[in-house]
Amino acid sequence: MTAGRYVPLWVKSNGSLLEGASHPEELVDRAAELGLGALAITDRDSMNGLVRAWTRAKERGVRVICGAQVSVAPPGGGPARRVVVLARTREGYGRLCRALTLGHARRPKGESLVEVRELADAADGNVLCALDAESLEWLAEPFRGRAYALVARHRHEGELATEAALRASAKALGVPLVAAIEVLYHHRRRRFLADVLACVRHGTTLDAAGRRLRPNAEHALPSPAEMARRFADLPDAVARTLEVAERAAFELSELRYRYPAEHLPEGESERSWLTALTWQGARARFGEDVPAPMRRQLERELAVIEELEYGGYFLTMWDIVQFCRRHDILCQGRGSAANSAVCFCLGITAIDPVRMDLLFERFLSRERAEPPDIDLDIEHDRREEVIQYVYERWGRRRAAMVANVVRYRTKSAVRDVGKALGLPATALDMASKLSSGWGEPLAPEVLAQAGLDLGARRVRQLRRLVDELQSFPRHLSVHPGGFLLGAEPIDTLCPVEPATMPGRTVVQWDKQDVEDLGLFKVDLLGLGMLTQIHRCFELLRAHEGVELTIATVPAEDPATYEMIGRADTVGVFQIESRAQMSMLPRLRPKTFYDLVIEVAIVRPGPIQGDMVHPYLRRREGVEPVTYPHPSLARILDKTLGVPIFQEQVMKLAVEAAGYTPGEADQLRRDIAAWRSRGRIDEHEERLVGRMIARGIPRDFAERVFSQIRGFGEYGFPESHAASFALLSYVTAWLKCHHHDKFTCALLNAWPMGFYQPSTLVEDARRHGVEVLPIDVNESAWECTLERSGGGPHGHAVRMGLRFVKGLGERERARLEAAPPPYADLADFARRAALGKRALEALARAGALRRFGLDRRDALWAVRGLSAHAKDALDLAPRDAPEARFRPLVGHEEVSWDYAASLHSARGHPMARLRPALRARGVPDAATLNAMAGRRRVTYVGMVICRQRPGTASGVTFMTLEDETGFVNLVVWRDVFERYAMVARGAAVIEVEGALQREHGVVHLVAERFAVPRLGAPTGETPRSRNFH
Amino acid sequence: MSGRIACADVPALPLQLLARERKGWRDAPLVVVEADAPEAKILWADARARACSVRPGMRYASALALCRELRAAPVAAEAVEALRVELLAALSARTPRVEPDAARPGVFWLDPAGLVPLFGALDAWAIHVHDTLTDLELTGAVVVGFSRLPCWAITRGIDGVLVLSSPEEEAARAGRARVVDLDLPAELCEALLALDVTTLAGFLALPRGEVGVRFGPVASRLHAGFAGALQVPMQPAHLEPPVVVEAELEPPDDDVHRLLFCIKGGIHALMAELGRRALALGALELTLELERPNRTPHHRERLEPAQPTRDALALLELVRLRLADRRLPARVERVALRAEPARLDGRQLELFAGRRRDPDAAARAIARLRAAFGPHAAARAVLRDAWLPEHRFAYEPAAALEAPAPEPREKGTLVRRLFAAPAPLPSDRSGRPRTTPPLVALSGPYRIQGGWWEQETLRDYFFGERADGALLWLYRAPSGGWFLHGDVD
Repeated sequence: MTAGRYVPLWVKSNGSLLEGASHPEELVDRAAELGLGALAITDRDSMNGLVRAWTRAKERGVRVICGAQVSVAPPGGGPARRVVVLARTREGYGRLCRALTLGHARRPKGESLVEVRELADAADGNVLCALDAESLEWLAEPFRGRAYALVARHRHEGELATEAALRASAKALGVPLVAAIEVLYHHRRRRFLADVLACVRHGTTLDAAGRRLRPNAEHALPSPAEMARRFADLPDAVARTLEVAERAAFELSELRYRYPAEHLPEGESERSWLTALTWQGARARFGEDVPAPMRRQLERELAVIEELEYGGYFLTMWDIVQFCRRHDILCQGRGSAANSAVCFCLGITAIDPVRMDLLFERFLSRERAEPPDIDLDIEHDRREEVIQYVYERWGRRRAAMVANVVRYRTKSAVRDVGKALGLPATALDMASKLSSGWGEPLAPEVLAQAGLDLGARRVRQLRRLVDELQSFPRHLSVHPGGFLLGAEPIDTLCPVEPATMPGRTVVQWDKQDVEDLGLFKVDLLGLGMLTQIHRCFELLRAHEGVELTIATVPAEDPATYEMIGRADTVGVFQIESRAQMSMLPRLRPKTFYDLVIEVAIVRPGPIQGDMVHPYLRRREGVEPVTYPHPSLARILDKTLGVPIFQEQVMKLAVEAAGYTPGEADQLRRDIAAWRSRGRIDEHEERLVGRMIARGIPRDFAERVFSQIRGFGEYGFPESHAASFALLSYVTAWLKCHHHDKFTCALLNAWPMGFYQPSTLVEDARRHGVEVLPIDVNESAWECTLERSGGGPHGHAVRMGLRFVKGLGERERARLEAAPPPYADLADFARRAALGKRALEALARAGALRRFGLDRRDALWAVRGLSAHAKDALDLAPRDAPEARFRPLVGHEEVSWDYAASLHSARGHPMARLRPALRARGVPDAATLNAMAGRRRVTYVGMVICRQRPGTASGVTFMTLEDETGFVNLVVWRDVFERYAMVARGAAVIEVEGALQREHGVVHLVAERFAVPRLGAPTGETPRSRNFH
Repeated sequence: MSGRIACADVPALPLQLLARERKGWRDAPLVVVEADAPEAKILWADARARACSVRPGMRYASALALCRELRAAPVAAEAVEALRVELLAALSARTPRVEPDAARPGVFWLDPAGLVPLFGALDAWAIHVHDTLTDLELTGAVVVGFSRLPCWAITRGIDGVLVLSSPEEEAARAGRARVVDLDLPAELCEALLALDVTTLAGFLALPRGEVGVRFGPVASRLHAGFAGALQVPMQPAHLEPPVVVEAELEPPDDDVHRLLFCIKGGIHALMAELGRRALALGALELTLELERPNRTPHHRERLEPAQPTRDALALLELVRLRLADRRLPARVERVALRAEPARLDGRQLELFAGRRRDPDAAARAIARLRAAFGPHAAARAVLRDAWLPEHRFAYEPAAALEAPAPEPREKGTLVRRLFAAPAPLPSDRSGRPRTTPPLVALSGPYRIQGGWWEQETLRDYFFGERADGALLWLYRAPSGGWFLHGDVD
């Protein structure tokens, strides 16, 4: 051993939440700079930072020793003791994870306390570094031959007595000494951040924290020379760190994940069962004569799956899908799984990859040998049933959800750092609200606007520390649907913690960690649109006798495409947003593949890569289809020479920039880790340079890179776009042919999608669907269909009681237990036994009109009734003096509807302003949208949406609505800022600007905003969807 | 003029207090929040904030989304109460009978009876009352009417002053008051507006019994109050005015003994007056007016006995202690003694008290110390949580003694004694500290480094053993200089 060399054995990254003040990558980089060959990552009661450290360590040639600092409960009670445990073997690592799991199970979220006997049980295969005499005495025996007394020195006099006792105990027990620093940060300058994190953790301020802060800055990763100096009297203890490191030989790469063996039928192997199911599915989809291309594809895929031993994974997904089918839960695979013919035949996905010419290798390949990623969309209100089935089927110890690491952004960092610095909370709140999102430095003008003095020392510190804190993990939450399943208990793979939600457990690794380790996971995601589709199918069956499934919805229906081309897509999955609606009249989809492109093209990737307009021009035939390099024709052929899908840019990297499969894979990972700052940027020089070297124009190369960066924000692979496009088509078809059922189902699945109920109701009314108001004698909890007397649709939508603000599940149960009809108000109040607030909510919503009461009279009456609610039987007050109130007039009815139930079946709030607007020459939306372009127009409408996409360089898009339709505004940054008060806050707005008409798309480019002065109050209006 | 009552209303008193204190926020929308926290409720909002749809009851964070320029701060209840006392005192100068409203912090009821001869007319008196508000940088209205709540309702609709001529005029004007201006409970106000009851007249038109059934007893009481059905007699606040005794010294004198003799007489007079009122002396303010020309025309002392007292001799002793070492810059022309009255703390005497600690005696001793050396003369050490030795305790003024409760200490534990201030130590050429006798061993360093958010401190502490066996505690500053900070025994 070289003198002075050592291995840091007690290193905590920021995976030790709110304690460690350096990213795992920073610690590894610093270790490499200091010439350290290895370091242990020993986060507090967790493996949080381990994978990230390990991933970086592979790049930097540093070895990461796996371990944890474990909080141990003294046998006789008292404050927890800390020990460091390092893994020697795979089994030992599993035992350590198990012990930590037990520790977390008994403590509140984020804490752990392992009992001595539990740690003793984990001794085999692990190395112990005891920090105090007592811990050493409890654990030396179970760890016999693998126990060390860890002497830690941080220039704190309180350590003198601890060290003396530990050394005495070690001598008595014959345990060798080993030296370490408790590393909390990679560099001394992070000490400030460590102090702030300690304050956040303890919920205090720096002024009040006292000894909850460390006494000095002696917790940085020390150099070998510093270590030798600090332990000059114990050189053997320093040298022994190498011995310990050698003994702690477990490597994270040893985690060989075995997928759980399925419950196979008698006599079947995993392979034979998957093959049988696949062919059975193929015959169900194509009949006995499976087309040859599909047959070939299935044979090829099954061979790869067998070779890579991933059959169990497919069977698992099939099993979950079968559960959904058995329980009438609509589900559909999304993502790259749609590239697989096996998934299609197993019923996991609904897209035929052979017909779509999708690439299986994007999903699974021998070269990548990486577990496939199948995401399953499930009806959002039934996802929990599926999750609980998974727990039940695999057992609690063999299934756990993947963590979602909630990280600091500028907004949250301002609050926590500022609070620790003792700055006024109200000013911090303002600064937080004014600051922008992820990763951007805290702007001084924001602080000034919040009333903070920029010259003040603490405010200067705030700015610096907020920047340092960016992307630090703050706490763990649960991934929306990611599951880790195992043949062996998950808690031997990674510590498992109870989640806040009862019945859930969560591993300490997030999606990225799981992917980096190459582990299997399944994503069970809730999708509201599947709920809507399912409900719509049920309504069709009940009211029309029509049986439909996603697969049997008539394909390539011209009327549906015609409707989509008009951008008449309110409520249609994925193509209902303002941006999508603006694109539809230009793209005018005529086939399913057009829809796939439509879904994929309005995304940050193609937009940032400036690929949208070239594609549209080529589609319109005004620009020739050319390829930047002949070799790229094969890749870009389907999209007219313009890369749109994620896999196309991946292929470009390989074909045009000569990326090796490994480099391309890294690029894909870096795109996936889109919020890790700078990872994508590392590819710029390499990718653009190599493309230019191959004769591809610089402009195209740079645009491709911009697109890659854009995919980092959000981009779709072709298969994923195809899965979504299928749902878009199905919902568009339902809207086109069964608007009444479509609306009813959509309202019952709400909240989901892009629009408020008011907009959905107005859209239905504009399409001739009769919408009936809420009425306690007619309405069920959900919206229902009633035979309609006239109009183009067979049924009217009766609004459900679920839309009455103030009614919840308790009221639902009571109402459903005492169904209508009700003889009168007293009968209703007595039978439904609702509380005062619920009765008032119904009165305000006009749901008691049936009893001959205007809403104000109803309000007065229900208040009187609820005062007598506990009287036996007769509720009607006798001889009560009369009080009469002014009945609501037309526009008040609408206003009250909006206030009480987020919509009105009686009219649009703008309708009452129409005469006044008409008198002023202000057009309605329908008139405006029919006007010729290039003219100045003043318009008044209700704001239903404000959006400022990151790709729009500060431009705000607003959508206004009136009783005849929508008007789309484009607001330049300076105009928005000039009229910020009105533009940001007003519900009804007057706008003056220039009308632009291009390719059938109409925009009003705003120049001036005002609150309309119309002599009448605007009343209650719906909430707009702002800045999503 | 029997049957008259006046109402002085300072609306949103906490908000006005905040505006008065934060003059820099004059042009910004302003709210008072219940605490300095984003989720704190807004208690009061000014007109600018309300114009941005900010309403009391909202959370500050939500309001900020509506109004980015919003300025907010909490106002301590003590500060509001202090302002109310200030207002009460100021209004008491306009009429002896002033009653602060128990529920509405900015509302005061005033009795104008008997003041017309003094002011000429009620209008003139009311203007004086209004001026009182203006002098305190507050805005509000004054209405002279016939019954309480109707009178107050009218203040909400006017600026300045109004004298009502008849109960009928009062009822008519009050009926026009807007429901939203009447600080009704939020639920009642919201319910009335929903029923299109927008004025007080509309509210009063509802059958009172049914109002009670629907909106509860508070609403019923308010209904009766606004209808003038509740005639509660005035209950004026009783201010305990200070007792003041003054004496001229002719010729002027600066001899402390003679001054004490003069003061003695004054103290006896004070005690007699306090005794007559069944009160005791809580504090004594002694003002010595000095002979002119002199740069400081007054010399003031404030003395607080250990507890409210009527013991003239004990008080005189405190005065003597305080004046004993005072050097007056000029001769005293006039002596003024101002006693702050306090209630006597009635305690039962203990007949058979043995020889125990006497906390009263300790308190008296401390009072004498404070009298002699100032209020900060007596202090006690309290522990603080900090790393820096001098920050691990603090002294706070003590007016009484608590029985000591030392923590048990292990046998053989060494005690580190901290010096009041670190003493610089010379160092030798090698940079080691020099002491006499010399140090034979140094153990350390133990580093304390912190306080970076204010001013960073860095010290490397050492234990040093002197040749005579003494254990010293010393540190090295970043400059390299050594300081002795304590010793160990």
